[in-house]
Amino acid sequence: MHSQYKNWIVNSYDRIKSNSVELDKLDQLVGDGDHGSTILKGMTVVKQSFLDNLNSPLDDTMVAISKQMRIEMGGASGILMSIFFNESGKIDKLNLTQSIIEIFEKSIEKIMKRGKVKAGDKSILDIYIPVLEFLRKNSDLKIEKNKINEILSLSLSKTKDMKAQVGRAKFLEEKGLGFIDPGAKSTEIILREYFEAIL
Amino acid sequence: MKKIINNKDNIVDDMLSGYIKANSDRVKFSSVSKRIILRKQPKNTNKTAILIGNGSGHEPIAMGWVGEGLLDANVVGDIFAAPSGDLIFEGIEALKENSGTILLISNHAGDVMNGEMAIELAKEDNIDADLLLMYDDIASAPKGDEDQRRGGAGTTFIYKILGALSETGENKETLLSLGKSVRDQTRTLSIAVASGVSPISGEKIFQLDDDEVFIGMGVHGESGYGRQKISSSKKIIKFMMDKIFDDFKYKSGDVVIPFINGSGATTLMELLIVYNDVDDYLAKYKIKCFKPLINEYITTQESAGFSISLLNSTEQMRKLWISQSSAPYFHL
Repeated sequence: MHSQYKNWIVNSYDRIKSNSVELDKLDQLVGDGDHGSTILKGMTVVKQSFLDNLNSPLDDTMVAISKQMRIEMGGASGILMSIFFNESGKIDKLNLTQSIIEIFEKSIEKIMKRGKVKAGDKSILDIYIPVLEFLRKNSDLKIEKNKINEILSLSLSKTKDMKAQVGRAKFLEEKGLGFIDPGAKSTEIILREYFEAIL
Repeated sequence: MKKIINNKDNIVDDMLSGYIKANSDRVKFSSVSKRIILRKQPKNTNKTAILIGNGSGHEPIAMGWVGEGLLDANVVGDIFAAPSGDLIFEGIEALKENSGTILLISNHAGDVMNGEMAIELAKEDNIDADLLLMYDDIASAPKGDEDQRRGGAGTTFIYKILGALSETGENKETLLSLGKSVRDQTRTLSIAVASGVSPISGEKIFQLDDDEVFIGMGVHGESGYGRQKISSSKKIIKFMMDKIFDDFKYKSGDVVIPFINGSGATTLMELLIVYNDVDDYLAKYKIKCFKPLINEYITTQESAGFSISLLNSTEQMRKLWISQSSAPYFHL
């Protein structure tokens, strides 16, 4: 899966890069205005580290990359967003759908535990959970990319109507109501590129 | 944005480098990371060590409080972002020869997640380390939900009092227990007058009209009791002190330690006027003030505003509060 993962990471980096100013602006509305810069820093080390380790076992590489991403980004976003990267190395080409389901399950479990966050709190979980639900329902079919993309778009726009129960946005006068969550937006970008690359 | 920097990516590193050069008699970088500040002369290892991990952009806290009688280490994150759990763990590891370590964490989402991770990593390595969560900001969660509150300027009392007690050789459990008592006896309320500018985005952190203030706003512009028109110091202090008195039962004869912290762009002139009104308010209730701390310590760039923190103190707390410290930026 090295070449698929290489596409995932390189394309995610490119799209995060071209969206980083917009992500900063989005974070300006609900946070301290630096999510775009922060996730770009994270994706920069992810890309560099992946390209430097093309011959290592994928699982080892992804665990190491996840740690570098966490250190580079810091904050709540670093520790939570690096979790999917940590789990993603457990992909199994021969058992693709089931292994993706397990990656999502494990990621969601760890994000919930570490972030003390649940569905509907206006966080990155509100992207992961609907995708997992779809994958579970369609586990015996070939997953359709455009269906996944629809779910990603819809899940992201739904974060607009949520009041933040976690993070800094929880303390805003309107709890971020009316704005999409910046972490959910960058997660949507990264997951879109993920399925684009591996399916 | 007008800020005197070289390069956005190097703000924190350039700042820390300047800090260490200027205070090389008292502090140094750890050998593993230039994001970990240690005391030049480590305390005796038979004493418990105290450290904190926090985001930068709030100077002089917390790097300025590393020193004898205060903190043993500060793990420094990027601007307004907690350092990763991995890095905080390295800070704990640097102190592992000590008789236990207490990791102080101010209650903000990223700080807590990374602090908890660091403690888990320490436990895996059989290092004796505990986390002490600090919270004091009464505007951020209602009475009864104290542990949901944000860490504000009143966390200073915990840093200083535990730092001083640790020098006497008291064990970790006694320190943790006193830390919790200090936390329980502390209340903080802040007011924002004007927003600072984020060095990363170059934008104001929050929006306030020229004639408006915001009572209860957190250090990053988080919401509290809401906006009101600016008025006299006396009126503002009455509003704020009434809120603090609604939250905590003070009684005649109590001795409080006040801390008036400026947010970065409020003059000492104003902070002293504020203190004068706080002292008068307390005097009406026959509450005595003991050695207040008044200056800009926990800042958010060029934000204007201040916070009032009160510690309802015991004699032991007062003695520890005024004990000597060599930390470069803590001056009572």
